[in-house]
Amino acid sequence: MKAIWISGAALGVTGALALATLVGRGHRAHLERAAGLEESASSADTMAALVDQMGRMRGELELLRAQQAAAGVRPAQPPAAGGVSAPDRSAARDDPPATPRSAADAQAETFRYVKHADQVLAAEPKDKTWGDARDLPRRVEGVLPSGSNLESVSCGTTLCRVETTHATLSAYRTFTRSMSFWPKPGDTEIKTFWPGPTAFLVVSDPGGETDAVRAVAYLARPGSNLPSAP
Amino acid sequence: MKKAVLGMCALASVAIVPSQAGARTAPGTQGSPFFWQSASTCFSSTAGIENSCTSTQYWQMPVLWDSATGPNKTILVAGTVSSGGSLSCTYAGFASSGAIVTEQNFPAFPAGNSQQSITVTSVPAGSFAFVFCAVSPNTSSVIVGLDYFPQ
Repeated sequence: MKAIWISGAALGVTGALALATLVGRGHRAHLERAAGLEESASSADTMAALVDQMGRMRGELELLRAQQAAAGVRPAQPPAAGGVSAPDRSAARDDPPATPRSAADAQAETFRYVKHADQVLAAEPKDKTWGDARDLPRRVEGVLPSGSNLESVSCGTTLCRVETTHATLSAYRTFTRSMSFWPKPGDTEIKTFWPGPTAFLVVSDPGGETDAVRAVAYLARPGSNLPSAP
Repeated sequence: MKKAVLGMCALASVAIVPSQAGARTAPGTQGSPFFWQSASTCFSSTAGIENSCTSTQYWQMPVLWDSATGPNKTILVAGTVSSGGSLSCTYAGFASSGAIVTEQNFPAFPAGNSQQSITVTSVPAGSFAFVFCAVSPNTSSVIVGLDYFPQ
């Protein structure tokens, strides 16, 4: 009885080993087939398959990088072959996209810029000799459409901030056109409302043409730039 | 041996020069008259845009930003002003609502060939931009083209 049991056990172990070997071979063969690397293929075919696979993997990697960049994640840049750093072509991918990811993102970007520009302005001392700044409230009042209000004007040394409210988006559009130069037939020169760089930002979120608008305009002194993005 | 080392150094230095991502150039001819009625009568192109009418005309050129506010951006206009001529340009951006989002004048073009540039710090996502120029009459000034790129 004992001999039978031992023989049976030995047969079972042998069978299990054989099965494991078969499964292992089958699995490896499956992997090789999946990779397009048939054992029977010549070495040239194998090399070609490897190059092809590498190309596909590189493509997938580039796609992944592009997706990460779109999601605002900067992927690590591996060094190029030979230890020489690859040219940095990632700058444009890291920049905020020219088209908004969403309305919420665009609004968040506006708020970030306004907060930063306000900090820049708050850190500037007042310049009482700056004539354009002194005249600014009167000039803005002069171009406000009906239903629009001048909420505040504040100026430092190189920057002014004008906050306005408008009954409709259409009124705001009219206001920005009045604060800018838009050529008309017969105009012989460019005469802008403000001689320096200007930026107009909507800080409310008008859903449509008839919604009210709260806006902030930054006007930089001629020869100065508007604050850079934070 | 020394030449080989120098050669390898030169090769390495070429390999690590960063490319200018997002840089674009556009000849003036890529623009259009600001007022369409002056399209066929006033503007002509040689190596740039000239105004052959007897009054100042406006020419506009689109600016195709690849990124929004973030890095500062430089725009450069190349032009030529002859004796008695003038060329003045302005950059303007507007939102999809039609409201203007930014405006900035280029420095005045002196007589002769020159390039005038501005730094743009605010490009709201989803906005559109262009440069328009007042081109003096009687072919007395030429818009050669635009260069623009993130800094």
